[in-house]
Amino acid sequence: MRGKQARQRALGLAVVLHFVRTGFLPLHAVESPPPGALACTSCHHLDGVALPSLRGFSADQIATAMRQFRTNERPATLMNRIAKGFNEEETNAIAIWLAARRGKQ
Amino acid sequence: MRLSSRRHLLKTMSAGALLLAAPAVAQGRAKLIVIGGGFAGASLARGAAKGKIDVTLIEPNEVYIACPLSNLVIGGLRPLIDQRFSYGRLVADGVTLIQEMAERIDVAARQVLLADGKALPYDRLILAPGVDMRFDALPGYDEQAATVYPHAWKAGAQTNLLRAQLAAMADGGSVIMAIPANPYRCPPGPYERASLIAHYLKTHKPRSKLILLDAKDQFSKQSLFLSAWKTLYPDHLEWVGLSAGGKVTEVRAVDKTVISEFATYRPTVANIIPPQRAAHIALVSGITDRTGWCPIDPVTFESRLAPHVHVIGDAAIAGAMPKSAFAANAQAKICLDAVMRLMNGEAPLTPKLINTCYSFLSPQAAISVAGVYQPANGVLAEVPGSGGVSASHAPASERQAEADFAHAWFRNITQEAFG
Repeated sequence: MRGKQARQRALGLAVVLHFVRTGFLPLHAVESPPPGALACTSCHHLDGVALPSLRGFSADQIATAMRQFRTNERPATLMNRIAKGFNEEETNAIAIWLAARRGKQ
Repeated sequence: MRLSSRRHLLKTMSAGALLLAAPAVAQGRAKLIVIGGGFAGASLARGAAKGKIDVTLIEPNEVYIACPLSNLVIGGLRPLIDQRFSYGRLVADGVTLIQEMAERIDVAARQVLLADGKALPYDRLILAPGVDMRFDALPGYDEQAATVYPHAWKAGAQTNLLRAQLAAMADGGSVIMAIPANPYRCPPGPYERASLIAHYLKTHKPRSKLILLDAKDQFSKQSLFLSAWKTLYPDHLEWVGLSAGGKVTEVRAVDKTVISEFATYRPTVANIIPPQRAAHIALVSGITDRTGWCPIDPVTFESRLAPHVHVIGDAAIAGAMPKSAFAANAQAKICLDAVMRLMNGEAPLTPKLINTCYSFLSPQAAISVAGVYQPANGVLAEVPGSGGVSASHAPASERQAEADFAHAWFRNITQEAFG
């Protein structure tokens, strides 16, 4: 009997771990933001008004702006220097995270 | 699968999920202690509390007085009261605040020893103590001399003293500023301060002059500063670099004398910025190396000398990252994430960090330096191709925009760190 319970427990835990890995269950591990994302809010409060706020910007808009800063297509005092530190993939991950994080600060 | 075994499985699952849902950090079993409530420590403590982590902040002062923008106070352009931040918001967010001086860390026993004799155990310790002025490095410049010739390199009474001395000085007086070799807190800070003192002299005491005695030949944003000074303050500011004999070798506060490698000065007002090191507690707890600063792992900010102690902010050797409020705040966020992962048994992620420092050239004009950093060969290194300083031939409107951004940045970062 004990052995059966232990087996069932082990099975349950395996299922849970599988769902956590596949993202089916809410993620209970530490939800780390993508590299670089955390530094953005030192200037760009997501819900505030100080500096250009990112309020109302979609992930696509943020990623596009960063891409244009990186290639100097968009004029900037400073963001062109920051944007060059991130590649396309990193920029997209940050943009998605920032857009999703609005209202949660 | 039969219904009963499914039910049993669900029950087992929810119990398992609960276990996974409650990492040690969130349950309050793990003890996280932060020493120091500056930009690094306050940012980390507040971030942890907002993430429902049990966190204790040890900070003896009731109020934090911020250094960024304090050069505007010295230039007579901003009241010191605007630099003050309380810890009330942190406490409201769930930070346990202990208003005591942390004396020493017992690394082996994982305890913080307080001035009142209490010992606080920790699982992870965040050490963010900032810097101490080295009163043993420049002959004649000790704590007593600092009451005559302020360093004003920690905002507060020293800031007010320098401001008061400048305000009391008669027109025609001379001002000396001594600038140390690297590394020290806020690399472009002395040159911003020089700009704003020169602005004050030009505006209010036009027969006066500021001489900078520098222990180095290269400095942050150098060409931008030198070109701005030539245009804005040709008669009020002179910079003497190391190779021109600019290094100050002795200070005689009683005789009101400052001696450099090249000359002897008798200034009306002198601002002596001495060499610095990590604050006392890091030194006495064996967390500094022979440079006087704290070596760290660039991924987790964990001390190279003391396991389970993480050092952030000005006290840390952060490779290419300068000692700035922006860097301290950025490091706090990365360090908190790494500590949460470590406490939860997960591998820390390789971070990317950003720094931005604005410097005022005048009330209406500012320049900036920015950088993006990542771990490389065991240190934090600049991401190749990123970062740099403001454009050298920018129109006044762009310098004005950066001055506006500097004020907005300060409002924003202090709101994030202190609420």
